[in-house]
Amino acid sequence: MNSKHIGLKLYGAFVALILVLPTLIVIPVSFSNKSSFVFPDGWSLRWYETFFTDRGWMAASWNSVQIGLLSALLATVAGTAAAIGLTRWSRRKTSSTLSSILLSPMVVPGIVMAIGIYMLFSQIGLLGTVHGFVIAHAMLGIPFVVVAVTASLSGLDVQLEKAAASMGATPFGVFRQITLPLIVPGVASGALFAFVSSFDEVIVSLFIKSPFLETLPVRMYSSVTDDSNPTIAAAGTLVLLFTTLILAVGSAFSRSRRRKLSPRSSK
Amino acid sequence: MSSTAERGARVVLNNVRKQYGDSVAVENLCLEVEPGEFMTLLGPSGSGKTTTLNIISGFAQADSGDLLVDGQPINGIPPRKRGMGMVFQNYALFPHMTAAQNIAFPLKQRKISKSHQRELVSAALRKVRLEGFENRYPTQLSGGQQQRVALARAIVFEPRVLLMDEPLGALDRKLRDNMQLEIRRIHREVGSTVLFVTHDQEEALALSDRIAVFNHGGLEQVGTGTELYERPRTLFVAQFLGESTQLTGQASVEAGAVVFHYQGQKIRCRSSVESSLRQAVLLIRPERLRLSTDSRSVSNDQEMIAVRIVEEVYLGAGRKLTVRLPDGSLGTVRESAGAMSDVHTGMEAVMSWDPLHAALLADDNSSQTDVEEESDLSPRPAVTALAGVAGPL
Repeated sequence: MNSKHIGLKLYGAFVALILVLPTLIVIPVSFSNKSSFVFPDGWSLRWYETFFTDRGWMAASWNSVQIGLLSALLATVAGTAAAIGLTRWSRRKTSSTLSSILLSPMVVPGIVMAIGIYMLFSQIGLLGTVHGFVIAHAMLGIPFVVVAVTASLSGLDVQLEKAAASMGATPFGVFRQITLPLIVPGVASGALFAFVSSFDEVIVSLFIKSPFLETLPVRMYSSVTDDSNPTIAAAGTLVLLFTTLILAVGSAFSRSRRRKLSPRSSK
Repeated sequence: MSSTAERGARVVLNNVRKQYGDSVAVENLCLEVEPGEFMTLLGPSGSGKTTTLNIISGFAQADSGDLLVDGQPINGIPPRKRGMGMVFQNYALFPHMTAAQNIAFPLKQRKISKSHQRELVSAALRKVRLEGFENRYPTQLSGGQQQRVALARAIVFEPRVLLMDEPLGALDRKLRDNMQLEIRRIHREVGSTVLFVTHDQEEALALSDRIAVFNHGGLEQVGTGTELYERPRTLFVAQFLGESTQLTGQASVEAGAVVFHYQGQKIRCRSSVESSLRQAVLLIRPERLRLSTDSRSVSNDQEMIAVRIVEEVYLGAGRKLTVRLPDGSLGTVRESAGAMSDVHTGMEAVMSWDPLHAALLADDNSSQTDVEEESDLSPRPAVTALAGVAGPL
């Protein structure tokens, strides 16, 4: 039985390796003792030191965290409201049209979005500003929130909201006490994805950055052309660690919650 | 929240009509529910009973007609301001709250103090006999326990009207019988006016003060269980509630008395039906029928016809026999263990009954197909088909 599946297992392992190998290669390079991208023959922490002591890198990191948090917040609030509205809307045609518009940032080529945003922002003076970044990144993050919240809304029994209303809860009371607590996993995973999508966004950011305001990925991108030393690998490793940690915490949270709310397995 | 006021409210529906798209859900609906009464809305699915409940709860708006609670029209008032208790088919317990939090929910919305909430919650748990389960989440409760929590949550704020939408539908048979008794007891204790939706006729008979039978978006008949069972006004009601044996024939008035013509036989019946009634069905409940091998044993005040026994099923507490009627269709006879006759499968027998227990009803074929079992219907088309072939020859 097992021998039959061994070929399949090898194939699966091979595909998994192809998927993660390019990402993992930055880890050994970040500990390199050489000043270029060749594979190291000795280990050192100097690129991490450079990263943490360089003002430019630190400023870019802080900008990314700040913009990521603010844009995730904006995307989560707007995306959750949109998902609820679209799910409950009785006019199905209008709601499905609107939902494809909301989801379009996922399919429209990033470069097209970037040019559009650049032209619009240059007109209204948002280029190189924190709010400009937050608005642009929130727009890109909204689809993740809409998809995640819509999925958890579809698992929500509308009878619960009716029951709450019949017991005297106001519409906002129903949302705060019933709907929101039950869709929190979707909202949280949407928020995480929105944050991560902002945190590693490059194309739009390249267009709307200024010499005084750049994010970590933009800094990394220019570092490839300007310095081309393994600091970028150290930065990459840190970003990898950070985003993996966020998503792992998120999925652990939703797993423990599911265990609590789902019916007993022993029935 | 005042418990000193009269506890149940009078609910009146006046000429209510509701349409969804092109299909009429209910029409010309008039129903009066007395304060404290247990009224069951009974009918097959799609008959309008759930729509009626939704109109009363406020989750659907009537297109026309009035809904009055204690004489006050409440048509436009949203559900949350109607103050009615509701029990849903799948319980609709909030999964992220414990039993106690679920039950306290309506009290919390009414801004009742925490200490008073605790008192009322434990009183409600006592009423549904679920003390000690306060801190369980719904997933940690069995179906019957969840149902009790849902019931406690609906009565905890002492609503004057309690609406239940097939609350026992998801429970197994034994638990359902048990919960029926509990619901009756709680109704007596709480005193609210109850509107209970079900498609289960036994449940309706077991629970209700009165039953409103729905069919095709309208009311067929409203009455106590006895009235509906013993004196159904339409064939639909007769067939929906319980089993029956049906004779199809013609009715006429002869010398001031109604006579039922069946297979060349004249059968007396108790009826106040007008003489215009021609095509008719004479309906007798299986437990009102007697079987015997000897027609001389049947007294003069009884009516009888000849039948052949097709099948007998022993049920412990009695016997259920299927008989072939003179017109070819099948009938059912039930005998209790203390009064079993000596007829058996394959035998010819006479089937007799007291004319007082036979109901003469207008033959309304449209409703017949909804309820009647296929085995009862199948012989008829076969007979007509044969007649059609035989004709030209």
